[in-house]
Amino acid sequence: MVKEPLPSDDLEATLRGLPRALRAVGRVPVWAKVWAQARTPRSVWDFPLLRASASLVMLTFVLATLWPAGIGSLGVPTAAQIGIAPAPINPAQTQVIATDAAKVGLTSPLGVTIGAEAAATPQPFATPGPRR
Amino acid sequence: MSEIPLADWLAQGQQGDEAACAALYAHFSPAILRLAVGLLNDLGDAEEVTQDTFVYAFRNLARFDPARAAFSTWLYTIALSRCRNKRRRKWLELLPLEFVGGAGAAPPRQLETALERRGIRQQIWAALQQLPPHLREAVALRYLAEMRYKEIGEILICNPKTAESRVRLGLEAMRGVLSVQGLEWDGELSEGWTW
Repeated sequence: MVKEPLPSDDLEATLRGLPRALRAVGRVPVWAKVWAQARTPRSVWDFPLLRASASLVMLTFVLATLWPAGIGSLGVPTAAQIGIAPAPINPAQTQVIATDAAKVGLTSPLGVTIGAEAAATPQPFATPGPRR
Repeated sequence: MSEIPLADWLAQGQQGDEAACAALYAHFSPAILRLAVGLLNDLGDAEEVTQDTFVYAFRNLARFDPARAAFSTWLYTIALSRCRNKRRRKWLELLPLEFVGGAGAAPPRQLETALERRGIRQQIWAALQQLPPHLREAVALRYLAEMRYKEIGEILICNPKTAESRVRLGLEAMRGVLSVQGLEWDGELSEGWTW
């Protein structure tokens, strides 16, 4: 219903005819469908605060998974670099321990007996370390 | 037109009464649909926006405060917001097509043809669609939703004079578009009218 008089104008007269023309063209959605949707319980995603919290949890999970696994190659410091993860094992120290074990005839945890020959061969990572 | 018991419908609707909500829907949905069609130029999108508007309104009806705004103002504000979101999403969908040099989606001819059968020239509808969003919203609220400048100002968050000015600028821009197309208004809008 037009509540204010509109100035006489051809374009305006045409525009005033639009509601009647559109009334015949468009059809509003069925009431039952609208009401059913309005009564449907909303999901978490309908609440902005819950949605933000859920997104934060997912982001934390993704970061915690990817960060130590080498996201540092993208320029981001790794977990070890900022001191929140144990440092990687030094291969040189591992070799020294293996050499010492061979001397006393120990078997590695994988079941491989390290012979004296292997102990005598200079290993690429072997560096002089403290002898026990 | 007889006075509608809007306050009763609202009060009962806020208690979850389906009949009252149905009455509100029957009264306001045609105007919301017209506004959405005018802003989106697509019947399917307009129906979707109409449904979303009322679903949101009924879910939040208990929080509506009649002292703060008229129900119609609140409803049109929701509808306008959804129309803007829809247009934005649609623009993003169309963008890649334009980037690769395609012609983009074809304009919806079905609506224009249907309107033309009812005496609304395609050029007039097209001129309305070519208006910048802030002018198109003002013109659509004025002529499709048939609102007063005061109500338009409340919905567009501007004063009534600014709303009136936007409507006037919108009409001038439409006349400009129509005159560029070589159309001259001679006051005759009958079926035999030509340009």
